[in-house]
Amino acid sequence: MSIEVKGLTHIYSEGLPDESLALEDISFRAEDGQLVGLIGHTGSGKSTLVQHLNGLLKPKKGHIIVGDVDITAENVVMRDIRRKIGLVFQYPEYQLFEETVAKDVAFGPSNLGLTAEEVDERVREAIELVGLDYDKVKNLSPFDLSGGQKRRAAIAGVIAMKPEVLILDEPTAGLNPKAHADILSMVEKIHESEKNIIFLVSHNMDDIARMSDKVLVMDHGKMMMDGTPEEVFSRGDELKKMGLALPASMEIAAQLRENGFAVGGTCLTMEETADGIAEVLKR
Amino acid sequence: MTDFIKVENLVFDYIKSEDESTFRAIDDVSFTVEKGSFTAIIGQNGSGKSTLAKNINGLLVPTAGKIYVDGLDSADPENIWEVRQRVAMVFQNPDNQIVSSVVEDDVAFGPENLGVDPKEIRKRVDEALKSVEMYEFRRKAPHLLSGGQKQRIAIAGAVAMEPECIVFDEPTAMLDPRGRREVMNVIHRLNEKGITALLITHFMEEAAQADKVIVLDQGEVKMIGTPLEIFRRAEELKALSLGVPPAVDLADRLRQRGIEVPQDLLEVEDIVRYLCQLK
Repeated sequence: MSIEVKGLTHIYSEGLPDESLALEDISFRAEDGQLVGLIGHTGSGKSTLVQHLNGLLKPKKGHIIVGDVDITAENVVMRDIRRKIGLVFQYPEYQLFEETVAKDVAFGPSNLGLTAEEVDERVREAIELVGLDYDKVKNLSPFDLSGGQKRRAAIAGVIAMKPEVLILDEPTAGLNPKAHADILSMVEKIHESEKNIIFLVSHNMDDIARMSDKVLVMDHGKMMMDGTPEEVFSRGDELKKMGLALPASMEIAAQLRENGFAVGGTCLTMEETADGIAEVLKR
Repeated sequence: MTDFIKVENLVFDYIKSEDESTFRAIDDVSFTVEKGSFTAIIGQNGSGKSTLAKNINGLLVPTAGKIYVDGLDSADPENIWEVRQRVAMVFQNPDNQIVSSVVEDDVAFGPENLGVDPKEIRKRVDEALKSVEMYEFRRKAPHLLSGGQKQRIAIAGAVAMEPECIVFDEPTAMLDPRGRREVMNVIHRLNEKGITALLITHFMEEAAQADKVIVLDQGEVKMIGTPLEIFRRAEELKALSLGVPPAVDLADRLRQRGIEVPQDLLEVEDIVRYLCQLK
Protein backbone atom coordinates (compact mmCIF):
# COMPACT_ATOMS: atom_id res chain seq x y z
CA MET A 1 0.00 0.00 0.00
CA SER A 2 1.12 3.49 -0.75
CA ILE A 3 -0.46 6.88 -1.26
CA GLU A 4 0.61 9.06 -4.11
CA VAL A 5 -0.43 12.66 -4.67
CA LYS A 6 0.25 14.11 -8.10
CA GLY A 7 -0.08 17.74 -9.14
CA LEU A 8 -2.88 18.52 -6.69
CA THR A 9 -4.33 22.01 -7.12
CA HIS A 10 -7.29 23.53 -5.29
CA ILE A 11 -8.87 26.95 -5.66
CA TYR A 12 -11.28 28.35 -3.08
CA SER A 13 -14.16 30.59 -4.31
CA GLU A 14 -13.16 30.15 -7.95
CA GLY A 15 -14.51 32.99 -10.11
CA LEU A 16 -15.46 35.09 -7.08
CA PRO A 17 -13.67 38.25 -5.91
CA ASP A 18 -12.02 36.42 -2.98
CA GLU A 19 -10.70 33.60 -5.17
CA SER A 20 -7.56 32.08 -3.66
CA LEU A 21 -5.17 29.35 -4.65
CA ALA A 22 -5.20 27.04 -1.62
CA LEU A 23 -3.08 24.22 -3.03
CA GLU A 24 -0.65 24.64 -5.87
CA ASP A 25 0.70 21.63 -7.72
CA ILE A 26 1.29 19.43 -4.67
CA SER A 27 3.04 16.12 -5.25
CA PHE A 28 4.44 13.58 -2.79
CA ARG A 29 4.41 9.87 -1.95
CA ALA A 30 4.03 7.97 1.29
CA GLU A 31 4.85 4.30 1.55
CA ASP A 32 3.41 1.51 3.61
CA GLY A 33 4.14 1.79 7.30
CA GLN A 34 5.52 5.32 7.14
CA LEU A 35 4.73 7.96 9.69
CA VAL A 36 4.60 11.25 7.87
CA GLY A 37 4.81 14.56 9.73
CA LEU A 38 3.00 17.48 8.09
CA ILE A 39 3.96 20.97 9.25
CA GLY A 40 3.20 24.53 8.17
CA HIS A 41 1.88 27.70 9.78
CA THR A 42 -1.87 28.32 10.18
CA GLY A 43 -3.29 28.96 6.72
CA SER A 44 -0.46 27.21 4.87
CA GLY A 45 -2.85 24.68 3.33
CA LYS A 46 -2.38 21.65 5.62
CA SER A 47 -6.07 21.23 6.42
CA THR A 48 -7.08 21.76 2.80
CA LEU A 49 -4.64 19.03 1.76
CA VAL A 50 -5.84 16.66 4.46
CA GLN A 51 -9.47 17.17 3.44
CA HIS A 52 -8.55 16.17 -0.11
CA LEU A 53 -6.88 13.01 1.12
CA ASN A 54 -10.14 11.63 2.45
CA GLY A 55 -12.35 13.02 -0.27
CA LEU A 56 -14.05 15.85 1.66
CA LEU A 57 -12.79 18.26 -0.99
CA LYS A 58 -12.36 17.64 -4.69
CA PRO A 59 -9.28 19.03 -6.40
CA LYS A 60 -9.32 21.41 -9.34
CA LYS A 61 -6.48 19.43 -10.87
CA GLY A 62 -4.36 16.44 -9.95
CA HIS A 63 -4.75 12.94 -8.56
CA ILE A 64 -4.61 11.05 -5.29
CA ILE A 65 -3.86 7.38 -5.74
CA VAL A 66 -4.31 5.09 -2.74
CA GLY A 67 -2.99 1.60 -3.44
CA ASP A 68 -4.15 1.23 -7.04
CA VAL A 69 -7.34 3.31 -6.74
CA ASP A 70 -7.50 6.90 -7.94
CA ILE A 71 -9.79 8.46 -5.33
CA THR A 72 -10.15 11.65 -7.36
CA ALA A 73 -11.73 9.76 -10.26
CA GLU A 74 -15.31 10.62 -11.27
CA ASN A 75 -16.98 7.30 -10.53
CA VAL A 76 -15.30 6.48 -7.24
CA VAL A 77 -17.55 5.48 -4.31
CA MET A 78 -17.06 7.87 -1.38
CA ARG A 79 -17.67 5.14 1.17
CA ASP A 80 -14.66 3.21 -0.16
CA ILE A 81 -12.44 6.24 0.29
CA ARG A 82 -13.60 6.85 3.84
CA ARG A 83 -12.99 3.20 4.62
CA LYS A 84 -9.43 3.43 3.34
CA ILE A 85 -8.60 6.81 4.84
CA GLY A 86 -9.52 7.84 8.37
CA LEU A 87 -9.38 11.47 9.40
CA VAL A 88 -9.26 12.55 13.04
CA PHE A 89 -10.03 16.26 13.25
CA GLN A 90 -8.67 18.70 15.83
CA TYR A 91 -10.47 18.38 19.17
CA PRO A 92 -12.22 15.17 18.01
CA GLU A 93 -13.92 14.86 21.41
CA TYR A 94 -16.40 17.52 20.27
CA GLN A 95 -17.73 14.95 17.81
CA LEU A 96 -18.72 12.34 20.39
CA PHE A 97 -22.50 12.01 20.37
CA GLU A 98 -23.74 8.53 21.36
CA GLU A 99 -25.15 7.35 24.68
CA THR A 100 -22.27 5.00 25.42
CA VAL A 101 -18.62 4.79 24.44
CA ALA A 102 -19.16 1.42 22.72
CA LYS A 103 -22.04 2.78 20.62
CA ASP A 104 -20.03 5.83 19.66
CA VAL A 105 -17.07 3.78 18.50
CA ALA A 106 -19.43 1.38 16.68
CA PHE A 107 -21.03 4.14 14.60
CA GLY A 108 -18.48 4.00 11.77
CA PRO A 109 -18.04 0.23 11.44
CA SER A 110 -21.81 -0.44 11.64
CA ASN A 111 -22.18 1.61 8.48
CA LEU A 112 -19.75 -0.66 6.64
CA GLY A 113 -22.18 -3.57 6.30
CA LEU A 114 -20.34 -5.83 8.77
CA THR A 115 -22.09 -8.41 10.95
CA ALA A 116 -22.92 -7.45 14.54
CA GLU A 117 -20.18 -9.76 15.84
CA GLU A 118 -17.59 -8.21 13.53
CA VAL A 119 -18.60 -4.74 14.66
CA ASP A 120 -18.36 -5.72 18.34
CA GLU A 121 -14.95 -7.24 17.78
CA ARG A 122 -13.65 -4.11 16.04
CA VAL A 123 -15.07 -1.87 18.78
CA ARG A 124 -13.34 -3.87 21.50
CA GLU A 125 -10.04 -3.89 19.58
CA ALA A 126 -10.16 -0.16 18.84
CA ILE A 127 -11.00 0.82 22.42
CA GLU A 128 -8.13 -1.27 23.76
CA LEU A 129 -5.74 0.01 21.12
CA VAL A 130 -6.29 3.60 22.26
CA GLY A 131 -5.46 2.52 25.81
CA LEU A 132 -8.90 2.47 27.41
CA ASP A 133 -10.26 -0.46 29.42
CA TYR A 134 -13.08 -1.89 27.27
CA ASP A 135 -15.05 -3.47 30.12
CA LYS A 136 -14.83 -0.33 32.21
CA VAL A 137 -15.76 2.25 29.59
CA LYS A 138 -18.05 0.43 27.13
CA ASN A 139 -21.28 1.36 28.94
CA LEU A 140 -20.20 4.78 30.17
CA SER A 141 -21.46 7.96 28.57
CA PRO A 142 -18.57 9.45 26.59
CA PHE A 143 -19.29 12.70 28.39
CA ASP A 144 -18.36 11.18 31.75
CA LEU A 145 -14.79 10.52 30.60
CA SER A 146 -11.89 12.87 31.34
CA GLY A 147 -10.61 15.19 28.59
CA GLY A 148 -7.77 12.89 27.53
CA GLN A 149 -10.02 9.80 27.64
CA LYS A 150 -12.69 11.52 25.53
CA ARG A 151 -10.08 12.24 22.91
CA ARG A 152 -9.00 8.58 22.94
CA ALA A 153 -12.60 7.39 22.58
CA ALA A 154 -13.09 9.70 19.60
CA ILE A 155 -9.90 8.40 17.96
CA ALA A 156 -11.09 4.81 18.60
CA GLY A 157 -14.14 5.59 16.45
CA VAL A 158 -11.85 6.20 13.49
CA ILE A 159 -9.47 3.31 14.26
CA ALA A 160 -12.44 0.93 14.29
CA MET A 161 -12.85 1.63 10.56
CA LYS A 162 -9.40 0.01 10.11
CA PRO A 163 -8.19 2.72 7.75
CA GLU A 164 -5.10 2.03 5.67
CA VAL A 165 -4.19 5.68 5.99
CA LEU A 166 -4.82 7.46 9.30
CA ILE A 167 -4.63 11.24 9.44
CA LEU A 168 -4.38 12.92 12.85
CA ASP A 169 -4.81 16.71 12.86
CA GLU A 170 -3.13 18.18 15.98
CA PRO A 171 -4.04 15.26 18.23
CA THR A 172 -2.30 16.77 21.28
CA ALA A 173 -3.61 20.37 21.17
CA GLY A 174 -4.57 21.65 24.62
CA LEU A 175 -3.28 18.65 26.59
CA ASN A 176 -0.93 18.75 29.61
CA PRO A 177 2.58 17.32 29.11
CA LYS A 178 1.72 13.83 30.43
CA ALA A 179 -1.54 13.49 28.45
CA HIS A 180 0.37 14.82 25.45
CA ALA A 181 3.04 12.11 25.79
CA ASP A 182 0.36 9.45 26.36
CA ILE A 183 -1.52 10.32 23.17
CA LEU A 184 1.71 10.15 21.18
CA SER A 185 2.68 6.75 22.55
CA MET A 186 -0.86 5.67 21.66
CA VAL A 187 -0.21 6.88 18.09
CA GLU A 188 3.01 4.85 17.98
CA LYS A 189 1.20 1.80 19.28
CA ILE A 190 -1.55 2.10 16.65
CA HIS A 191 1.11 2.52 13.98
CA GLU A 192 2.94 -0.59 15.12
CA SER A 193 -0.17 -2.72 15.40
CA GLU A 194 -2.02 -1.60 12.26
CA LYS A 195 1.06 -1.08 10.06
CA ASN A 196 -0.84 1.73 8.38
CA ILE A 197 0.37 5.01 6.94
CA ILE A 198 -0.05 7.76 9.53
CA PHE A 199 -0.09 11.46 8.77
CA LEU A 200 0.60 13.55 11.85
CA VAL A 201 -0.28 17.23 11.49
CA SER A 202 1.31 19.21 14.31
CA HIS A 203 2.74 22.54 15.41
CA ASN A 204 5.02 20.71 17.82
CA MET A 205 8.40 20.41 16.11
CA ASP A 206 9.82 18.20 18.90
CA ASP A 207 7.18 15.53 18.23
CA ILE A 208 7.56 15.75 14.46
CA ALA A 209 11.35 15.39 14.65
CA ARG A 210 11.21 12.45 17.04
CA MET A 211 8.41 10.44 15.43
CA SER A 212 8.39 11.01 11.67
CA ASP A 213 10.00 8.86 8.99
CA LYS A 214 9.37 11.68 6.57
CA VAL A 215 8.44 15.34 7.00
CA LEU A 216 6.38 17.47 4.60
CA VAL A 217 6.52 21.26 4.94
CA MET A 218 3.81 23.47 3.46
CA ASP A 219 3.76 27.22 2.95
CA HIS A 220 1.25 29.34 0.99
CA GLY A 221 -0.36 26.23 -0.50
CA LYS A 222 2.91 24.86 -1.84
CA MET A 223 4.98 21.87 -0.81
CA MET A 224 8.24 23.51 0.21
CA MET A 225 10.17 20.56 1.62
CA ASP A 226 9.84 16.78 1.55
CA GLY A 227 12.51 14.76 3.31
CA THR A 228 13.71 12.98 6.42
CA PRO A 229 13.56 14.90 9.73
CA GLU A 230 17.35 15.37 9.51
CA GLU A 231 17.09 16.91 6.04
CA VAL A 232 14.13 19.16 6.81
CA PHE A 233 15.31 20.43 10.19
CA SER A 234 18.80 21.18 8.89
CA ARG A 235 17.15 24.07 7.02
CA GLY A 236 16.35 26.10 10.15
CA ASP A 237 16.55 29.55 8.59
CA GLU A 238 14.07 28.69 5.84
CA LEU A 239 11.70 27.11 8.37
CA LYS A 240 11.83 30.22 10.56
CA LYS A 241 10.97 32.41 7.58
CA MET A 242 7.84 30.28 7.13
CA GLY A 243 6.76 30.91 10.72
CA LEU A 244 7.97 27.50 11.88
CA ALA A 245 10.73 26.56 14.29
CA LEU A 246 13.31 23.91 15.11
CA PRO A 247 12.71 21.29 17.78
CA ALA A 248 14.13 22.57 21.11
CA SER A 249 16.96 20.00 20.99
CA MET A 250 18.07 21.24 17.55
CA GLU A 251 17.56 24.92 18.42
CA ILE A 252 19.97 24.52 21.33
CA ALA A 253 22.46 22.69 19.09
CA ALA A 254 22.14 25.39 16.41
CA GLN A 255 22.78 28.18 18.93
CA LEU A 256 25.78 26.32 20.35
CA ARG A 257 27.25 25.81 16.87
CA GLU A 258 26.75 29.50 16.08
CA ASN A 259 28.91 30.24 19.10
CA GLY A 260 31.67 27.91 17.99
CA PHE A 261 30.62 24.93 20.13
CA ALA A 262 30.67 22.12 17.56
CA VAL A 263 27.94 19.71 18.71
CA GLY A 264 27.87 16.64 16.49
CA GLY A 265 25.02 14.33 15.53
CA THR A 266 21.50 15.04 14.30
CA CYS A 267 20.16 16.25 17.69
CA LEU A 268 16.60 15.20 16.81
CA THR A 269 15.94 14.50 20.50
CA MET A 270 17.22 16.09 23.71
CA GLU A 271 18.99 12.81 24.50
CA GLU A 272 21.03 13.09 21.28
CA THR A 273 21.86 16.73 21.98
CA ALA A 274 23.06 15.82 25.48
CA ASP A 275 25.24 13.07 23.95
CA GLY A 276 26.68 15.52 21.44
CA ILE A 277 27.49 18.10 24.12
CA ALA A 278 29.02 15.51 26.47
CA GLU A 279 31.28 14.31 23.66
CA VAL A 280 32.62 17.80 22.98
CA LEU A 281 33.20 18.53 26.67
CA LYS A 282 34.98 15.23 27.32
CA ARG A 283 37.35 15.66 24.45
CA MET B 1 4.28 45.86 45.93
CA THR B 2 0.60 45.77 46.73
CA ASP B 3 -1.59 42.74 46.27
CA PHE B 4 -3.99 43.12 43.39
CA ILE B 5 -5.73 39.77 43.72
CA LYS B 6 -6.14 38.00 47.03
CA VAL B 7 -7.55 34.48 47.03
CA GLU B 8 -8.45 33.25 50.52
CA ASN B 9 -9.40 29.61 51.17
CA LEU B 10 -11.27 29.42 47.89
CA VAL B 11 -13.59 26.44 47.40
CA PHE B 12 -15.64 25.88 44.27
CA ASP B 13 -18.13 23.05 43.69
CA TYR B 14 -19.76 22.27 40.37
CA ILE B 15 -23.29 20.94 40.74
CA LYS B 16 -24.50 18.28 38.30
CA SER B 17 -27.90 19.18 36.95
CA GLU B 18 -29.36 15.65 36.86
CA ASP B 19 -28.86 14.56 40.48
CA GLU B 20 -27.55 17.72 42.17
CA SER B 21 -24.39 15.86 43.21
CA THR B 22 -21.36 18.10 43.60
CA PHE B 23 -17.84 17.94 42.26
CA ARG B 24 -15.17 19.93 44.08
CA ALA B 25 -13.03 21.62 41.42
CA ILE B 26 -11.19 24.00 43.77
CA ASP B 27 -10.36 22.87 47.28
CA ASP B 28 -9.11 25.46 49.80
CA VAL B 29 -6.82 27.50 47.58
CA SER B 30 -5.04 30.63 48.85
CA PHE B 31 -2.52 32.90 47.14
CA THR B 32 -1.97 36.51 46.20
CA VAL B 33 -1.06 38.22 42.94
CA GLU B 34 0.93 41.42 43.18
CA LYS B 35 -0.04 44.44 41.14
CA GLY B 36 1.89 44.53 37.87
CA SER B 37 3.30 41.01 38.24
CA PHE B 38 3.30 38.10 35.78
CA THR B 39 2.01 34.85 37.25
CA ALA B 40 1.78 31.52 35.46
CA ILE B 41 -0.63 28.77 36.51
CA ILE B 42 0.20 25.21 35.46
CA GLY B 43 -1.49 21.90 36.19
CA GLN B 44 -2.85 18.92 34.29
CA ASN B 45 -6.19 18.90 32.47
CA GLY B 46 -8.94 18.96 35.09
CA SER B 47 -6.71 20.37 37.84
CA GLY B 48 -8.95 23.41 38.28
CA LYS B 49 -6.97 26.08 36.41
CA SER B 50 -9.81 27.40 34.26
CA THR B 51 -12.30 27.20 37.13
CA LEU B 52 -9.92 29.31 39.19
CA ALA B 53 -9.60 31.86 36.39
CA LYS B 54 -13.38 32.13 36.03
CA ASN B 55 -13.69 32.72 39.78
CA ILE B 56 -11.17 35.53 39.60
CA ASN B 57 -13.15 37.59 37.11
CA GLY B 58 -16.55 36.80 38.52
CA LEU B 59 -17.81 34.43 35.82
CA LEU B 60 -18.15 31.92 38.66
CA VAL B 61 -18.90 32.76 42.29
CA PRO B 62 -16.98 30.94 45.08
CA THR B 63 -18.79 28.18 46.98
CA ALA B 64 -16.73 29.16 50.05
CA GLY B 65 -13.78 31.42 50.73
CA LYS B 66 -13.15 34.86 49.26
CA ILE B 67 -11.54 36.51 46.29
CA TYR B 68 -10.67 40.18 46.50
CA VAL B 69 -9.84 42.00 43.28
CA ASP B 70 -8.31 45.38 44.01
CA GLY B 71 -9.98 45.13 47.41
CA LEU B 72 -13.42 44.30 45.95
CA ASP B 73 -15.18 41.13 47.10
CA SER B 74 -15.93 39.21 43.85
CA ALA B 75 -18.94 37.45 45.39
CA ASP B 76 -20.77 40.72 46.08
CA PRO B 77 -23.22 41.28 43.19
CA GLU B 78 -22.75 45.03 43.64
CA ASN B 79 -19.13 44.66 42.62
CA ILE B 80 -19.48 42.33 39.64
CA TRP B 81 -19.11 44.96 36.90
CA GLU B 82 -16.28 46.66 38.74
CA VAL B 83 -14.46 43.32 39.02
CA ARG B 84 -14.97 42.40 35.36
CA GLN B 85 -13.81 45.82 34.29
CA ARG B 86 -10.59 45.32 36.21
CA VAL B 87 -9.97 41.71 35.12
CA ALA B 88 -10.38 40.80 31.45
CA MET B 89 -10.08 37.29 30.04
CA VAL B 90 -8.61 35.86 26.85
CA PHE B 91 -9.48 32.26 25.98
CA GLN B 92 -7.86 29.44 24.04
CA ASN B 93 -9.72 29.60 20.75
CA PRO B 94 -9.69 33.02 19.08
CA ASP B 95 -12.54 31.96 16.79
CA ASN B 96 -14.88 31.71 19.77
CA GLN B 97 -14.11 35.23 20.96
CA ILE B 98 -14.40 37.33 17.84
CA VAL B 99 -17.88 38.77 17.25
CA SER B 100 -17.51 41.30 14.41
CA SER B 101 -16.68 41.08 10.74
CA VAL B 102 -14.26 44.02 10.94
CA VAL B 103 -11.23 44.00 13.25
CA GLU B 104 -11.73 47.47 14.76
CA ASP B 105 -15.46 46.87 15.39
CA ASP B 106 -14.55 43.75 17.26
CA VAL B 107 -12.08 45.58 19.50
CA ALA B 108 -14.70 48.30 20.11
CA PHE B 109 -17.30 45.78 21.27
CA GLY B 110 -16.22 45.78 24.93
CA PRO B 111 -15.91 49.53 25.51
CA GLU B 112 -19.18 50.12 23.60
CA ASN B 113 -20.92 47.92 26.13
CA LEU B 114 -19.36 49.85 28.97
CA GLY B 115 -21.04 52.99 27.55
CA VAL B 116 -17.74 54.71 26.80
CA ASP B 117 -17.90 57.97 24.80
CA PRO B 118 -17.42 57.31 21.02
CA LYS B 119 -14.35 59.59 20.77
CA GLU B 120 -12.78 57.81 23.69
CA ILE B 121 -13.64 54.43 22.08
CA ARG B 122 -11.83 55.48 18.88
CA LYS B 123 -8.77 56.36 20.93
CA ARG B 124 -8.86 53.16 22.97
CA VAL B 125 -9.34 50.93 19.91
CA ASP B 126 -6.40 52.54 18.10
CA GLU B 127 -4.16 52.26 21.13
CA ALA B 128 -5.20 48.67 21.84
CA LEU B 129 -4.52 47.62 18.24
CA LYS B 130 -1.14 49.34 18.31
CA SER B 131 -0.24 47.61 21.57
CA VAL B 132 -0.68 44.19 19.90
CA GLU B 133 0.86 45.40 16.61
CA MET B 134 -2.33 44.88 14.61
CA TYR B 135 -3.16 48.53 13.85
CA GLU B 136 -2.57 48.20 10.11
CA PHE B 137 -5.13 45.35 10.03
CA ARG B 138 -7.89 47.45 11.63
CA ARG B 139 -10.18 47.40 8.58
CA LYS B 140 -9.62 43.73 7.72
CA ALA B 141 -12.02 40.85 8.27
CA PRO B 142 -10.85 38.73 11.23
CA HIS B 143 -11.55 35.41 9.50
CA LEU B 144 -8.87 36.19 6.91
CA LEU B 145 -6.16 36.54 9.59
CA SER B 146 -3.82 33.85 10.92
CA GLY B 147 -4.41 32.20 14.30
CA GLY B 148 -1.78 34.32 16.05
CA GLN B 149 -3.19 37.51 14.52
CA LYS B 150 -6.74 36.57 15.56
CA GLN B 151 -5.56 35.87 19.10
CA ARG B 152 -3.87 39.29 19.18
CA ILE B 153 -7.20 40.87 18.10
CA ALA B 154 -8.90 39.06 20.98
CA ILE B 155 -6.21 40.46 23.31
CA ALA B 156 -6.74 43.96 21.88
CA GLY B 157 -10.45 43.56 22.69
CA ALA B 158 -9.47 42.91 26.30
CA VAL B 159 -6.95 45.78 26.35
CA ALA B 160 -9.59 48.23 25.06
CA MET B 161 -11.56 47.61 28.27
CA GLU B 162 -8.57 49.17 30.07
CA PRO B 163 -8.40 46.38 32.62
CA GLU B 164 -5.72 46.32 35.29
CA CYS B 165 -5.32 42.58 34.91
CA ILE B 166 -5.72 40.12 32.04
CA VAL B 167 -6.20 36.39 32.57
CA PHE B 168 -4.92 34.40 29.59
CA ASP B 169 -6.40 30.88 29.53
CA GLU B 170 -4.10 28.80 27.29
CA PRO B 171 -3.89 31.54 24.66
CA THR B 172 -1.25 29.73 22.58
CA ALA B 173 -2.62 26.16 22.63
CA MET B 174 -3.93 26.29 19.06
CA LEU B 175 -1.20 28.41 17.48
CA ASP B 176 1.77 27.63 15.27
CA PRO B 177 5.31 28.48 16.48
CA ARG B 178 5.24 32.03 15.10
CA GLY B 179 1.76 32.68 16.52
CA ARG B 180 2.90 31.46 19.93
CA ARG B 181 5.92 33.75 19.87
CA GLU B 182 3.79 36.75 18.82
CA VAL B 183 1.28 36.19 21.61
CA MET B 184 3.98 35.70 24.27
CA ASN B 185 5.68 38.92 23.13
CA VAL B 186 2.39 40.80 23.46
CA ILE B 187 1.82 39.41 26.97
CA HIS B 188 5.30 40.58 28.01
CA ARG B 189 4.79 44.00 26.49
CA LEU B 190 1.43 44.53 28.23
CA ASN B 191 2.95 43.37 31.50
CA GLU B 192 5.82 45.86 31.12
CA LYS B 193 3.19 48.59 30.69
CA GLY B 194 1.84 47.69 34.11
CA ILE B 195 -0.95 45.21 33.34
CA THR B 196 -1.05 42.35 35.83
CA ALA B 197 -0.81 39.14 33.79
CA LEU B 198 -2.11 35.71 34.76
CA LEU B 199 -1.19 33.00 32.25
CA ILE B 200 -2.64 29.51 32.29
CA THR B 201 -0.51 27.26 30.10
CA HIS B 202 0.63 23.73 29.31
CA PHE B 203 3.91 24.97 27.86
CA MET B 204 6.57 24.87 30.57
CA GLU B 205 8.86 27.23 28.64
CA GLU B 206 6.09 29.85 28.79
CA ALA B 207 5.62 29.38 32.53
CA ALA B 208 9.41 29.80 32.95
CA GLN B 209 9.05 33.39 31.69
CA ALA B 210 6.75 34.45 34.58
CA ASP B 211 7.70 36.08 37.91
CA LYS B 212 5.82 33.44 39.86
CA VAL B 213 4.45 29.98 39.08
CA ILE B 214 1.48 28.34 40.79
CA VAL B 215 1.11 24.56 40.37
CA LEU B 216 -2.43 23.22 40.76
CA ASP B 217 -3.44 19.59 41.11
CA GLN B 218 -6.88 18.19 41.87
CA GLY B 219 -8.08 21.61 42.89
CA GLU B 220 -5.25 22.25 45.35
CA VAL B 221 -2.13 24.42 45.21
CA LYS B 222 0.78 21.95 45.18
CA MET B 223 3.64 24.41 44.67
CA ILE B 224 4.07 28.12 44.51
CA GLY B 225 7.29 30.01 43.84
CA THR B 226 9.60 31.54 41.29
CA PRO B 227 10.20 29.54 38.09
CA LEU B 228 13.65 28.64 39.46
CA GLU B 229 12.17 27.23 42.65
CA ILE B 230 9.48 25.31 40.78
CA PHE B 231 11.44 23.82 37.88
CA ARG B 232 14.21 22.37 40.02
CA ARG B 233 11.56 20.00 41.38
CA ALA B 234 11.42 18.01 38.13
CA GLU B 235 10.49 14.68 39.72
CA GLU B 236 7.51 16.13 41.59
CA LEU B 237 6.35 17.91 38.45
CA LYS B 238 6.49 14.66 36.48
CA ALA B 239 4.41 12.97 39.18
CA LEU B 240 1.82 15.72 38.62
CA SER B 241 1.81 14.93 34.85
CA LEU B 242 3.75 18.10 34.13
CA GLY B 243 7.22 18.65 32.73
CA VAL B 244 10.11 21.10 32.68
CA PRO B 245 11.26 23.64 30.05
CA PRO B 246 13.71 22.33 27.40
CA ALA B 247 16.75 24.02 29.01
CA VAL B 248 16.04 22.34 32.36
CA ASP B 249 15.51 19.01 30.60
CA LEU B 250 18.87 19.29 28.86
CA ALA B 251 20.65 20.37 32.08
CA ASP B 252 19.28 17.28 33.78
CA ARG B 253 20.49 14.98 31.01
CA LEU B 254 23.93 16.61 31.11
CA ARG B 255 24.17 16.04 34.88
CA GLN B 256 23.37 12.35 34.27
CA ARG B 257 26.47 12.35 32.05
CA GLY B 258 28.61 13.76 34.83
CA ILE B 259 28.64 17.36 33.60
CA GLU B 260 28.10 19.98 36.26
CA VAL B 261 25.34 22.43 35.36
CA PRO B 262 24.01 25.11 37.71
CA GLN B 263 20.34 25.02 38.74
CA ASP B 264 19.40 28.49 37.54
CA LEU B 265 19.40 28.01 33.75
CA LEU B 266 15.77 28.21 32.66
CA GLU B 267 15.96 29.50 29.12
CA VAL B 268 17.71 28.12 26.04
CA GLU B 269 19.91 31.24 25.84
CA ASP B 270 21.07 30.71 29.46
CA ILE B 271 22.27 27.15 28.96
CA VAL B 272 23.90 27.98 25.61
CA ARG B 273 25.85 30.80 27.25
CA TYR B 274 26.90 28.57 30.13
CA LEU B 275 28.05 25.70 27.91
CA CYS B 276 30.01 28.01 25.60
CA GLN B 277 32.14 29.28 28.46
CA LEU B 278 32.79 25.66 29.60
CA LYS B 279 34.35 24.62 26.34
